[in-house]
Amino acid sequence: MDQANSIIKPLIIDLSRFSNWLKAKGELLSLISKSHSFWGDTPLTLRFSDFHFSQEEVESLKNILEESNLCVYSIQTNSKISAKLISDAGFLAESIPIIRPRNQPSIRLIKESSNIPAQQTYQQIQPEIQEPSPKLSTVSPLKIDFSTKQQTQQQEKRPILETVLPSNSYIKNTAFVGMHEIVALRAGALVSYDGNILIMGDVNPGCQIKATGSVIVQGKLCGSVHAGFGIEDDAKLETIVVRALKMGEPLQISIGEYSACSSNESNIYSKQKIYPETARVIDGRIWRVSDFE
Amino acid sequence: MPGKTILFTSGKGGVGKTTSTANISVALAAQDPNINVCMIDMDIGLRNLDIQLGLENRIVYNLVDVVEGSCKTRQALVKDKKLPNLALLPAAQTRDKTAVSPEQMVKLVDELREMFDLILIDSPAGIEQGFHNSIAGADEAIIITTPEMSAVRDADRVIGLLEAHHKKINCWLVINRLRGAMIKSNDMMSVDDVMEILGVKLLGVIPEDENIIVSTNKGEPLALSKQVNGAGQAYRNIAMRLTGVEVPLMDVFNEKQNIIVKQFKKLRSLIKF
Repeated sequence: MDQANSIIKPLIIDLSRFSNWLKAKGELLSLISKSHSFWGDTPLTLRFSDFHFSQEEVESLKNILEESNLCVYSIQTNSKISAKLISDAGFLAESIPIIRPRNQPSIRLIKESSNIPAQQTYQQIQPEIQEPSPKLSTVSPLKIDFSTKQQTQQQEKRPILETVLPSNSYIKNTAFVGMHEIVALRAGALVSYDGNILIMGDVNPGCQIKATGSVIVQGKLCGSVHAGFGIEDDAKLETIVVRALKMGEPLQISIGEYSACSSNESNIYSKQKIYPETARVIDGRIWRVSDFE
Repeated sequence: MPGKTILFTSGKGGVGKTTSTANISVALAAQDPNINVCMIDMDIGLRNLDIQLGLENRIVYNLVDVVEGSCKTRQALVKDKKLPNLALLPAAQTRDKTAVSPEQMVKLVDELREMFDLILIDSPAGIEQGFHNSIAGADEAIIITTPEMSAVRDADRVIGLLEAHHKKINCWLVINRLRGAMIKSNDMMSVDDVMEILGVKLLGVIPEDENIIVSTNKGEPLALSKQVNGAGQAYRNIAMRLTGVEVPLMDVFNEKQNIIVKQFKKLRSLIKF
């Protein structure tokens, strides 16, 4: 294998949710005992959070790694003191990479249509989007179900975004749920649409939202959201996004086939500040990306 | 002027709909002897409102008889023991909720509007036929909830159903069974936490009170008792707010009274020994 041309992609072991060495060590040991044979000779990268290592802790880490015979490519941490100690011990120390939202066609960018690369690539995408996805085709265009009766009011709404965007834009059909007299989408609401969904209000826990495109919520998002319903192609999935002003507490997000849920550590008793977050699929997992680091 | 209909609903069972209906209607009737108040028990098959008022021995006809035409409405109404302007239309014990339909309820409520100024409907738990029967005749709704996640979730569902209803129904919120000590130590949701999720106008709060158990067993609603700073006073406050008087929200934490009660208990235990 020619070393100059190959790119090493190590497997990342993420221990950054532990705030001190003892807890991370426990998790690391249990992971090693479980997945040792699965990893084999793959280069690994250990990721720790910002706590400062002491000399003894680095020694014990070194012992653990040598005993278990793992191939460690690098150790990531954001603290400079730990980085120095780790590199003294003979490992490659890196800082945790900052994830920034990629420059992808979003609702805002489509206006500047000169940014879309070539007409060719666009036409490759377009015919596929025009086919309705087979799984949702039996569902009526926009359905908000509070009870067994169907609500037909919302079906007559034309998506407002179509008048702003060029007509052959990538985002073809977007449902706009503008709340007229209601404060939030209450528990038990079922919103499904073959396209993108834009909701101008809160989504309370107990709701279900299903879309074949992205889901954008201008408010608090709770409940279960399934974006990219029926889409299996990873390249298309990378352009599908779930965004909210605040990701609420009992939250389940699925994009395509991948799904993730909110952690149970903070509960109703901890008030969190409102900050906008986006969830998208990167390398086969759903990542939370904030615009503010 | 035709009467106004108020619905008491919650979604979850056991949060205090029947107790609140009994106490609030008794408080309303006692406050103003000129208005006529009527209560309807919509929990057909599992009737409870008559027990809480102490009228179970006086029931001859019930709601299902009126709807089927076996008797006149006047014959089924039971007058209260102490208050002459309060009446109850009891439910049937031997039937179930499929015995009545929403259209029949609308007709019945229209008939009652000419006789009474205020009609208070006690809805059953759940979101099935009983709930739809109760919504049919309602102008305003009072959602009752306790500060617990499951009750709040169910109340949210019910509010969604009410908002989606074709008739415009005004919703209010009453939070029942609050414990000041637990809220302070962050073990129980506070009023603000509940309001953040539900977002409906707050009508009143009711603290947890042991006397409620005694009053429901005896059949004497707590709103008539002379109690100050308990659930009875909270119900009276809500009745005053419904008629337009502004009353400040009750202090659930009750710091002053707790100190006095503690010292009294200490003193009593010393004297015993």
